Amino acid sequence: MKTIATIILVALTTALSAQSKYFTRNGTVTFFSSAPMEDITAENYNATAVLDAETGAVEFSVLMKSFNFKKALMQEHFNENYVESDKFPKTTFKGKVLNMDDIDLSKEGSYPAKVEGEMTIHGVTQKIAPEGTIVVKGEQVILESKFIVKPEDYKIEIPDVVREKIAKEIEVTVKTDLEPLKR
Amino acid sequence: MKKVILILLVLVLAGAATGWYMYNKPVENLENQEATVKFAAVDLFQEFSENEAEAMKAYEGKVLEISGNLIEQMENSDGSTTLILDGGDPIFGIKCRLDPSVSSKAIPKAGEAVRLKGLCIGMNADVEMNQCIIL
Repeated sequence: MKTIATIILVALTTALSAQSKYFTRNGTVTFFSSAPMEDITAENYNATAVLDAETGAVEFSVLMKSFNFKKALMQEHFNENYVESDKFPKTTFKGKVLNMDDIDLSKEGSYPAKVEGEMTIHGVTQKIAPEGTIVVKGEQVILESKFIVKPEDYKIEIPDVVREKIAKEIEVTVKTDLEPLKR
Repeated sequence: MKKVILILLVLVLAGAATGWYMYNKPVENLENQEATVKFAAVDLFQEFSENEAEAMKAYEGKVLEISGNLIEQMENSDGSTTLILDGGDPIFGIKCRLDPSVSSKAIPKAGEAVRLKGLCIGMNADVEMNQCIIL
Protein backbone atom coordinates (compact mmCIF):
# COMPACT_ATOMS: atom_id res chain seq x y z
CA MET A 1 0.00 0.00 0.00
CA LYS A 2 1.97 2.92 -1.28
CA THR A 3 -0.48 5.59 -0.13
CA ILE A 4 -0.36 4.67 3.56
CA ALA A 5 3.41 4.77 3.35
CA THR A 6 3.22 8.19 1.73
CA ILE A 7 0.81 9.63 4.30
CA ILE A 8 3.05 8.50 7.12
CA LEU A 9 6.21 9.78 5.49
CA VAL A 10 4.63 13.17 4.92
CA ALA A 11 3.35 13.19 8.50
CA LEU A 12 6.79 12.46 9.85
CA THR A 13 8.54 15.11 7.84
CA THR A 14 6.10 17.78 9.04
CA ALA A 15 6.21 17.50 12.80
CA LEU A 16 3.02 19.47 13.27
CA SER A 17 0.70 17.19 11.37
CA ALA A 18 2.28 14.06 12.84
CA GLN A 19 0.54 14.87 16.11
CA SER A 20 -2.85 14.20 14.65
CA LYS A 21 -1.99 10.90 12.94
CA TYR A 22 -2.85 7.54 14.44
CA PHE A 23 -1.48 4.33 13.03
CA THR A 24 -1.46 0.55 13.37
CA ARG A 25 0.05 -2.34 11.49
CA ASN A 26 -1.68 -5.16 13.38
CA GLY A 27 -5.36 -4.35 13.12
CA THR A 28 -7.91 -7.16 13.10
CA VAL A 29 -10.24 -7.77 10.16
CA THR A 30 -12.40 -10.88 10.16
CA PHE A 31 -15.14 -12.08 7.93
CA PHE A 32 -17.92 -14.50 8.51
CA SER A 33 -20.10 -16.31 6.03
CA SER A 34 -23.12 -18.21 7.23
CA ALA A 35 -24.69 -20.63 4.78
CA PRO A 36 -26.96 -23.69 5.14
CA MET A 37 -24.11 -26.16 4.69
CA GLU A 38 -21.31 -24.42 6.47
CA ASP A 39 -20.13 -21.41 8.47
CA ILE A 40 -16.81 -19.98 7.36
CA THR A 41 -14.60 -17.59 9.30
CA ALA A 42 -11.35 -16.00 8.15
CA GLU A 43 -9.13 -13.81 10.28
CA ASN A 44 -6.49 -11.24 9.46
CA TYR A 45 -4.39 -9.82 12.29
CA ASN A 46 -2.04 -7.65 10.30
CA ALA A 47 -4.16 -4.90 8.79
CA THR A 48 -2.48 -1.56 8.34
CA ALA A 49 -4.57 1.50 9.12
CA VAL A 50 -4.07 5.22 9.54
CA LEU A 51 -6.40 7.93 10.83
CA ASP A 52 -5.85 11.64 10.53
CA ALA A 53 -7.69 13.09 13.51
CA GLU A 54 -7.60 16.58 12.05
CA THR A 55 -9.42 15.80 8.82
CA GLY A 56 -11.08 12.49 9.72
CA ALA A 57 -9.39 10.81 6.75
CA VAL A 58 -9.06 7.10 7.35
CA GLU A 59 -7.32 4.36 5.35
CA PHE A 60 -7.17 0.61 5.69
CA SER A 61 -5.20 -1.90 3.76
CA VAL A 62 -4.91 -5.68 4.05
CA LEU A 63 -3.22 -8.38 2.05
CA MET A 64 -5.74 -11.03 0.99
CA LYS A 65 -3.20 -13.79 1.60
CA SER A 66 -2.96 -12.68 5.19
CA PHE A 67 -6.44 -14.07 5.91
CA ASN A 68 -6.18 -17.27 7.90
CA PHE A 69 -8.78 -20.02 7.44
CA LYS A 70 -9.21 -23.18 9.48
CA LYS A 71 -9.28 -25.44 6.44
CA ALA A 72 -6.46 -25.45 3.89
CA LEU A 73 -8.82 -26.11 1.01
CA MET A 74 -10.96 -23.09 1.84
CA GLN A 75 -7.94 -20.83 2.06
CA GLU A 76 -6.80 -22.12 -1.31
CA HIS A 77 -10.19 -21.64 -2.98
CA PHE A 78 -10.56 -18.18 -1.46
CA ASN A 79 -7.21 -17.03 -2.85
CA GLU A 80 -7.21 -18.85 -6.16
CA ASN A 81 -10.81 -18.99 -7.29
CA TYR A 82 -12.72 -16.21 -5.58
CA VAL A 83 -10.69 -13.11 -4.77
CA GLU A 84 -7.81 -14.05 -7.13
CA SER A 85 -5.12 -12.85 -4.73
CA ASP A 86 -2.32 -13.17 -7.26
CA LYS A 87 -3.99 -10.62 -9.52
CA PHE A 88 -5.48 -8.49 -6.75
CA PRO A 89 -3.31 -8.89 -3.66
CA LYS A 90 -4.77 -6.06 -1.56
CA THR A 91 -8.09 -4.86 -0.27
CA THR A 92 -8.16 -1.19 0.59
CA PHE A 93 -10.58 1.26 2.11
CA LYS A 94 -10.12 5.01 1.75
CA GLY A 95 -12.63 7.21 3.45
CA LYS A 96 -13.55 9.81 5.97
CA VAL A 97 -15.06 9.96 9.42
CA LEU A 98 -17.80 12.49 8.67
CA ASN A 99 -18.51 13.50 12.27
CA MET A 100 -14.89 13.87 13.41
CA ASP A 101 -15.77 17.23 15.01
CA ASP A 102 -18.03 15.46 17.49
CA ILE A 103 -15.28 13.11 18.61
CA ASP A 104 -12.96 14.36 21.33
CA LEU A 105 -9.81 12.27 21.19
CA SER A 106 -8.52 13.88 24.38
CA LYS A 107 -11.48 12.54 26.34
CA GLU A 108 -11.93 8.83 27.07
CA GLY A 109 -15.16 7.33 25.88
CA SER A 110 -17.03 5.62 23.09
CA TYR A 111 -18.24 7.71 20.16
CA PRO A 112 -20.46 6.67 17.26
CA ALA A 113 -18.70 7.30 13.95
CA LYS A 114 -20.23 7.89 10.54
CA VAL A 115 -17.83 6.76 7.88
CA GLU A 116 -18.02 7.08 4.12
CA GLY A 117 -15.54 5.98 1.53
CA GLU A 118 -14.42 3.68 -1.23
CA MET A 119 -13.56 0.07 -0.81
CA THR A 120 -11.56 -1.85 -3.39
CA ILE A 121 -11.79 -5.64 -3.38
CA HIS A 122 -10.87 -7.91 -6.28
CA GLY A 123 -9.96 -4.82 -8.32
CA VAL A 124 -13.50 -3.42 -8.08
CA THR A 125 -14.18 -0.16 -6.22
CA GLN A 126 -17.49 0.50 -4.49
CA LYS A 127 -18.73 3.36 -2.33
CA ILE A 128 -19.67 2.21 1.15
CA ALA A 129 -20.89 3.96 4.31
CA PRO A 130 -20.26 1.69 7.29
CA GLU A 131 -21.33 2.68 10.77
CA GLY A 132 -18.65 2.42 13.36
CA THR A 133 -17.49 3.28 16.83
CA ILE A 134 -14.41 5.16 17.92
CA VAL A 135 -13.27 4.31 21.43
CA VAL A 136 -10.73 6.59 23.09
CA LYS A 137 -8.69 4.84 25.76
CA GLY A 138 -5.67 6.69 27.06
CA GLU A 139 -3.52 7.47 24.05
CA GLN A 140 -5.16 4.73 22.02
CA VAL A 141 -7.87 5.25 19.45
CA ILE A 142 -9.83 2.09 18.73
CA LEU A 143 -11.82 1.87 15.50
CA GLU A 144 -14.58 -0.70 15.39
CA SER A 145 -17.03 -1.46 12.63
CA LYS A 146 -19.20 -4.23 11.33
CA PHE A 147 -20.70 -4.19 7.84
CA ILE A 148 -21.89 -6.39 5.03
CA VAL A 149 -20.00 -7.09 1.82
CA LYS A 150 -21.73 -8.79 -1.09
CA PRO A 151 -19.26 -10.77 -3.22
CA GLU A 152 -21.27 -10.07 -6.38
CA ASP A 153 -20.79 -6.29 -5.91
CA TYR A 154 -17.06 -6.88 -6.36
CA LYS A 155 -17.42 -9.27 -9.29
CA ILE A 156 -16.43 -12.22 -7.13
CA GLU A 157 -18.05 -15.18 -8.80
CA ILE A 158 -19.18 -18.07 -6.71
CA PRO A 159 -20.11 -21.15 -8.71
CA ASP A 160 -23.52 -22.72 -8.10
CA VAL A 161 -21.92 -25.93 -6.84
CA VAL A 162 -20.72 -24.22 -3.67
CA ARG A 163 -23.68 -21.84 -3.35
CA GLU A 164 -24.94 -23.77 -0.34
CA LYS A 165 -21.61 -23.24 1.40
CA ILE A 166 -20.92 -19.57 0.81
CA ALA A 167 -23.30 -16.82 1.84
CA LYS A 168 -24.44 -14.05 -0.51
CA GLU A 169 -23.73 -11.55 2.24
CA ILE A 170 -20.46 -11.69 4.12
CA GLU A 171 -20.20 -10.00 7.50
CA VAL A 172 -16.96 -8.08 7.96
CA THR A 173 -15.74 -7.05 11.41
CA VAL A 174 -12.97 -4.51 11.87
CA LYS A 175 -11.22 -3.74 15.14
CA THR A 176 -8.01 -1.77 15.18
CA ASP A 177 -6.12 -0.19 18.05
CA LEU A 178 -4.38 2.86 16.64
CA GLU A 179 -1.50 4.54 18.43
CA PRO A 180 -0.30 8.08 17.95
CA LEU A 181 2.39 8.21 15.31
CA LYS A 182 5.60 9.40 16.86
CA ARG A 183 9.26 9.25 16.09
CA MET B 1 -20.69 -61.92 -5.78
CA LYS B 2 -20.86 -61.10 -2.10
CA LYS B 3 -17.12 -60.60 -2.13
CA VAL B 4 -17.33 -58.08 -5.00
CA ILE B 5 -19.99 -56.08 -3.20
CA LEU B 6 -17.91 -56.10 -0.06
CA ILE B 7 -14.82 -54.88 -1.90
CA LEU B 8 -16.82 -52.15 -3.62
CA LEU B 9 -18.26 -51.07 -0.30
CA VAL B 10 -14.81 -50.84 1.25
CA LEU B 11 -13.57 -48.80 -1.73
CA VAL B 12 -16.49 -46.39 -1.53
CA LEU B 13 -15.99 -45.94 2.21
CA ALA B 14 -12.26 -45.38 1.76
CA GLY B 15 -12.98 -42.83 -0.96
CA ALA B 16 -15.47 -40.98 1.21
CA ALA B 17 -13.07 -40.98 4.16
CA THR B 18 -10.24 -39.62 1.99
CA GLY B 19 -12.54 -36.93 0.61
CA TRP B 20 -13.68 -35.94 4.09
CA TYR B 21 -10.09 -35.84 5.30
CA MET B 22 -8.91 -33.69 2.37
CA TYR B 23 -11.85 -31.33 2.79
CA ASN B 24 -11.23 -30.79 6.48
CA LYS B 25 -7.45 -30.76 6.36
CA PRO B 26 -6.13 -27.83 8.38
CA VAL B 27 -3.60 -25.37 6.97
CA GLU B 28 -0.24 -27.07 7.28
CA ASN B 29 2.46 -25.35 9.30
CA LEU B 30 5.93 -24.80 7.91
CA GLU B 31 7.89 -26.89 10.44
CA ASN B 32 8.88 -29.46 7.84
CA GLN B 33 9.39 -27.09 4.96
CA GLU B 34 12.80 -25.90 3.92
CA ALA B 35 13.27 -22.25 3.06
CA THR B 36 13.96 -21.87 -0.66
CA VAL B 37 15.88 -18.61 -0.29
CA LYS B 38 17.82 -17.09 2.60
CA PHE B 39 17.79 -13.37 3.02
CA ALA B 40 18.93 -10.49 5.14
CA ALA B 41 15.76 -8.59 6.10
CA VAL B 42 17.27 -5.39 4.71
CA ASP B 43 17.89 -6.98 1.29
CA LEU B 44 14.38 -8.41 1.04
CA PHE B 45 12.85 -5.04 1.89
CA GLN B 46 15.07 -3.32 -0.65
CA GLU B 47 14.08 -5.71 -3.42
CA PHE B 48 10.40 -5.12 -2.71
CA SER B 49 10.68 -1.35 -2.51
CA GLU B 50 12.72 -1.12 -5.70
CA ASN B 51 10.47 -3.32 -7.79
CA GLU B 52 7.43 -4.73 -6.08
CA ALA B 53 6.11 -6.54 -9.15
CA GLU B 54 9.38 -8.37 -9.75
CA ALA B 55 9.83 -9.22 -6.09
CA MET B 56 6.25 -10.55 -5.93
CA LYS B 57 6.97 -12.83 -8.87
CA ALA B 58 10.17 -14.09 -7.31
CA TYR B 59 9.20 -14.53 -3.65
CA GLU B 60 5.44 -14.45 -3.06
CA GLY B 61 4.11 -17.81 -1.92
CA LYS B 62 7.63 -19.05 -1.15
CA VAL B 63 9.06 -20.06 2.19
CA LEU B 64 11.91 -17.67 2.95
CA GLU B 65 14.45 -17.61 5.73
CA ILE B 66 15.25 -14.11 6.86
CA SER B 67 17.52 -12.66 9.47
CA GLY B 68 17.73 -9.15 10.80
CA ASN B 69 17.31 -6.88 13.77
CA LEU B 70 14.08 -6.99 15.69
CA ILE B 71 12.52 -3.55 15.90
CA GLU B 72 9.23 -4.26 17.56
CA GLN B 73 7.12 -7.05 18.96
CA MET B 74 3.33 -6.69 18.87
CA GLU B 75 0.60 -8.77 20.42
CA ASN B 76 -2.34 -9.36 18.09
CA SER B 77 -5.97 -9.53 19.16
CA ASP B 78 -5.99 -13.35 19.04
CA GLY B 79 -2.94 -13.56 21.32
CA SER B 80 -0.55 -14.31 18.45
CA THR B 81 2.62 -12.30 17.98
CA THR B 82 3.80 -10.21 15.07
CA LEU B 83 7.42 -9.11 14.78
CA ILE B 84 8.79 -6.19 12.79
CA LEU B 85 12.29 -6.71 11.44
CA ASP B 86 14.43 -3.77 10.40
CA GLY B 87 14.19 -3.27 6.65
CA GLY B 88 16.61 -0.36 6.49
CA ASP B 89 13.69 2.07 6.14
CA PRO B 90 12.89 4.61 8.88
CA ILE B 91 9.39 3.19 9.47
CA PHE B 92 8.64 0.07 7.51
CA GLY B 93 10.27 -3.33 7.54
CA ILE B 94 9.43 -7.01 7.40
CA LYS B 95 6.22 -7.80 9.26
CA CYS B 96 6.21 -11.41 10.43
CA ARG B 97 3.28 -13.08 12.15
CA LEU B 98 4.46 -16.04 14.20
CA ASP B 99 2.46 -19.23 13.70
CA PRO B 100 0.48 -19.63 16.93
CA SER B 101 0.09 -23.38 16.32
CA VAL B 102 3.85 -23.95 16.60
CA SER B 103 5.48 -23.56 20.00
CA SER B 104 7.98 -20.78 19.55
CA LYS B 105 11.53 -20.37 20.71
CA ALA B 106 12.02 -17.36 22.97
CA ILE B 107 11.52 -14.08 21.15
CA PRO B 108 14.65 -11.89 21.29
CA LYS B 109 14.48 -8.38 22.71
CA ALA B 110 14.05 -5.36 20.46
CA GLY B 111 17.40 -4.44 18.94
CA GLU B 112 18.65 -8.02 18.97
CA ALA B 113 19.11 -10.29 15.97
CA VAL B 114 16.43 -12.76 14.96
CA ARG B 115 16.31 -15.49 12.31
CA LEU B 116 13.06 -17.01 11.13
CA LYS B 117 11.35 -18.74 8.27
CA GLY B 118 7.92 -17.96 6.94
CA LEU B 119 5.67 -17.64 3.93
CA CYS B 120 6.19 -14.41 1.99
CA ILE B 121 2.76 -13.01 1.10
CA GLY B 122 3.48 -9.59 -0.39
CA MET B 123 3.94 -5.93 0.43
CA ASN B 124 1.52 -3.74 2.34
CA ALA B 125 3.79 -0.81 3.28
CA ASP B 126 5.71 -3.51 5.21
CA VAL B 127 6.79 -6.69 3.44
CA GLU B 128 4.58 -9.36 5.00
CA MET B 129 5.39 -12.90 6.08
CA ASN B 130 2.85 -15.32 7.53
CA GLN B 131 3.11 -18.62 9.47
CA CYS B 132 6.57 -17.66 10.73
CA ILE B 133 8.73 -19.84 12.95
CA ILE B 134 11.77 -18.53 14.83
CA LEU B 135 14.86 -20.62 14.01
